[in-house]
Amino acid sequence: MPGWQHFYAQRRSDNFELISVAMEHTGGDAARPFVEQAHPTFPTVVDEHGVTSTLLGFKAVPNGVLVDEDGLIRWAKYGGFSIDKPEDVEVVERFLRGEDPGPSPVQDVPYTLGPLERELVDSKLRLGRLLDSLNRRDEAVTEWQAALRLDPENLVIRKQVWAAEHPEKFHPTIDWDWQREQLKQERENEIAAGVCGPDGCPVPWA
Amino acid sequence: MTAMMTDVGQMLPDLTLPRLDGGELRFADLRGKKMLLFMWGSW
Repeated sequence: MPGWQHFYAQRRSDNFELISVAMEHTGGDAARPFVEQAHPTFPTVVDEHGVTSTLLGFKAVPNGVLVDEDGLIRWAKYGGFSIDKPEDVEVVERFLRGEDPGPSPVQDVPYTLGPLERELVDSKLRLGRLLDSLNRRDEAVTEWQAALRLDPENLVIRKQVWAAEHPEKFHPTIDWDWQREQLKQERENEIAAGVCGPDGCPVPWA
Repeated sequence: MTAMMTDVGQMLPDLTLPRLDGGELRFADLRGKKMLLFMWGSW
């Protein structure tokens, strides 16, 4: 965040906007300390329900998405996008100079969901959000877990389940050791259950 | 909302999301400008 603020301050013009999108299942308060520390002059919006991850199809963060004056997405890197990577900064610079940003990196996921599977994942995510908003948390988590079984490499969904089931691991501080251990354990269980192999997770029933 | 994924070369969906500092931000209001969306998580 401080790095992006520096970048933005240097290149700020009437024709460029940087929008920070905080993917926070537990709400904006989790993002606030990071934002306040960096004193950004660009806005941060909060995507509490993973709407952008569903619409754009990303399964991890941090991401960079370049959008041109007509609202067209010209380039996207999902996962591992960083101000500390010269190749990422160079793409943004090229785009701002009016040049072609070039081909987008491919998300490193060992399977592809078909349109019907994506629709099913999306439906279950939305049903879960609706149930959650009605304080039916257990039923919401059941739907999110079903979505995760369809899309097991999706860390955005997996962490949404964790945040709902183990809120104490996310507040007041985030327990990274717990997350590593939890991911390892869940992967082992999934491999044992035949959901995922050592090379990744195939689409169930495919 | 549709389950179809939006790929590079397509229009950014017109979303409205709450701003951390209050109010809302609508992506379509930024039409006419170049935009970098930076998605991140504290988790």
